[in-house]
Order: sequence, then structure tokens, then C-alpha cells
Amino acid sequence: MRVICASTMKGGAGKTATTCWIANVLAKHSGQKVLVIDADNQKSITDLRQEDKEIAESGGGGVTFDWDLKTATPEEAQAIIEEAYENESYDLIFIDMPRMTGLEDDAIIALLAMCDSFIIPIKPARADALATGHFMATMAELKKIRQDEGYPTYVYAFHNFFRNIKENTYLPEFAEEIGIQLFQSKIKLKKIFENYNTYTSLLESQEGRDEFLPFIKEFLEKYEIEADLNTPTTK
Amino acid sequence: MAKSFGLISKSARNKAAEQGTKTLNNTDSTESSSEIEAVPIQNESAPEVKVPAAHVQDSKGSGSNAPVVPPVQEAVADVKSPTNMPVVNSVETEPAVTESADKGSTVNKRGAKSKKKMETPAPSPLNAARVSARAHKLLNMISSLENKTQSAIIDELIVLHPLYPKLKALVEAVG
Repeated sequence: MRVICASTMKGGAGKTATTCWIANVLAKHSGQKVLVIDADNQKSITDLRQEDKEIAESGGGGVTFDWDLKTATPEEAQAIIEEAYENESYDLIFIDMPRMTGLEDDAIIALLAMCDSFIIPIKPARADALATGHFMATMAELKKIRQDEGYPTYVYAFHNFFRNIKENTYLPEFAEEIGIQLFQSKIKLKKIFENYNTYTSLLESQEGRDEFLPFIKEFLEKYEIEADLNTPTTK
Repeated sequence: MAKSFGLISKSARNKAAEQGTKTLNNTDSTESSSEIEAVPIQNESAPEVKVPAAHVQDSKGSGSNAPVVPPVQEAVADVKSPTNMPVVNSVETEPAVTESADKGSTVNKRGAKSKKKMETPAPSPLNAARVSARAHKLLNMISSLENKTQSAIIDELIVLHPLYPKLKALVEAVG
């Protein structure tokens, strides 16, 4: 089982969207059993799923969700992961992490320590880059502790909300400075920021596929996750 | 190359929480620049930090609805708290700000000063261990306000206003 989280100290960087994008694609196309834990105090994924259900029902139809969802506090999320390990009930667990406020971060960091893979969305804004720098210092600690226990840790960032603005130029340099590897792929299609949901794979439309396929391929390669994206599966 | 993934031990998680929190909040003066300044903020969960008794009493006694109190800067500087957050210092060398912080330890001036701070929300150091429960609640709310509409934010914040209970009672009595 793999535990993956989209995480950063900065709010609004795209943690929730990233979680949905990847979970939707892998749950639908990889044949793996996926759980998403909504540990963000905004409960955005929980609300999105509820809205997705209501929209589908109001249209007289229904919708098939390809991944399970559990809403939890960071403490509860730890228990859910422990249980999933024990029961071998999932192949992939994604966690939508809360942002760190400096007040109750210990439970969040303990939960982060249970993750083997971290994907960090960064927006091309100076404040985002600086916040990510602080976060990376914590990641270095986590990585070492996990390493001492014999577990690998994967940490990468990707350039989210890519725009052709001058701030883009310093982000790769900054990433190198703080020791974080950036994805080559960037997410820039405005439509997928604004219209994602909890069940539609981005690979289903040509436009989404053109945008997201390079990203998800790079994700699978970097995090050493095996999945056959050419084979849509039904559960 | 096969890699093993598994459940990290509880003790390792606790260690991560302890070390990670320290690292995340560690003050590093070398990071400060003319534009960005690392300002210490005391983590609520850190029990070892000693705060001058007079300041604690002062803070509690004020009952201020403003989460930022001037003596914090002075106390944090003494304690050298391990916790900090990056804050953009837009008024970094203005004499008025320095003077305000120095005078802030005077109890009698607290009310007026807090009100003044509310009007000019310049980033200030904040000692989480010494702010009121109301301020803690406010901070937690602020951290969760993103993506909410302005009216939703007002709905949530209005209950924190000191006059809210009276106004509510008044509205109920009238209506």
C-alpha cells in the first residue's frame, strides 16, 4: 500500500485539486483500490463529493465514484491508515492535508510521517515559494526519520497554475536552492482548475488527456507506482 | 528495485511531530532580509516556554478582542521562542511602530492600543501561548476561510464581536 499526500504550508496552492485529479485518474484507469482521506479542515473534497451526488441526482441520474472517501481529523486519519495497513483494504491512499497554521501542527506532521510520497503544488508566486522552503525543512526531518525506520520517501513539487509571467523564471532556481525536484510537466489548463470534480478522470476528454497525461505519467515514474493507464477499469 | 512500504511506528511519528514542529518553526536569522523577516510565534503546545508573569496577567486581563498585543514582541525576544512564521514587514523601520511596541506593556493603554492595531493591520509578532481563547479561535477560523464568500466570512466573524450577544438579544427582543 502506498500513502500519498498533496501537501504544502501554503493555502490555495492546489492541494485539493491535485488530490482529485490524481485519485480520479488512478482509481478509474489503474485498477487499484483507492481511498481519499479528507483531512483538510475546509473539507473541500467532502463538500465536492456531496455536491457531485446532488447534481447527479437532480439530473435524474446517478454517478459512480471510483474511490472511497473518508473525512477525518489528522488524528483520525492516522487510525484509518493503520487499519488500512492491517486489513490490506486499499492499494493507494491519498490524503488531502490541512495547511499548517503553527498552532496544531504536531498531529499534521505525525500524519505526514505516515506518507511515503509527497507531491507539493507550487504556484509561481514568491510567497508560495518561500512557504515551500519552510515546509521543505520539515520534510527533510521526516525523510530522515522514515529512512531510519527503513522506509523510502518520495518528495517532488510541480508547477501549478502555470502562467507566462516573470515569476516563473525564479521558481526552478528556488526549487534547486531548497533541494526540491520539480516535475518537468506543468499544469496550466485553466479549465481543469476550475471544473474538477470527484469522479471524472481527466483522461476521458482529449483536452484533459493532452494536459494531464504527461503529468500523470511523470507522477507514476517518479513515485515508482505501477499503473496501466491505457486500460480503463470498472469496479 | 523493490522498495518496502509499511506502517511507520507510533514512536517515529511522535518523533517526527516533535522535530518537525521545531524545524518548521525554527528561527533562522540568516533567512531575514530587508523585505522578509522571520518573526517568532510561540507554539501553543510548547510547555517549556516561560513568560513573564506580569505579561501573562496583562494579556488575560485585557480581554482584548484583538489577537495582536504589543508586549508579545518583547516577551518573545526574551524567551527566544523556537516558533516562527514568515511575515512580510511592510513598516519595518517606522519609529511609530517601535514606540507602539515599547509602550504596549502599560495596562491602562491596552484598550486604546488594541483598537488602533485593528485599524492598521500591519503584520506583528504573535505569541500563541499568550493570546486569548477568542484570538485562538479567530486564528483557526482565518486559516479556514479561504474559498469562502465575503458574507460567509462575516457571518462567522460577527459572533466574535464583543457586542454580538447584546445585539442578538436586542434583535430577538424587537423581532
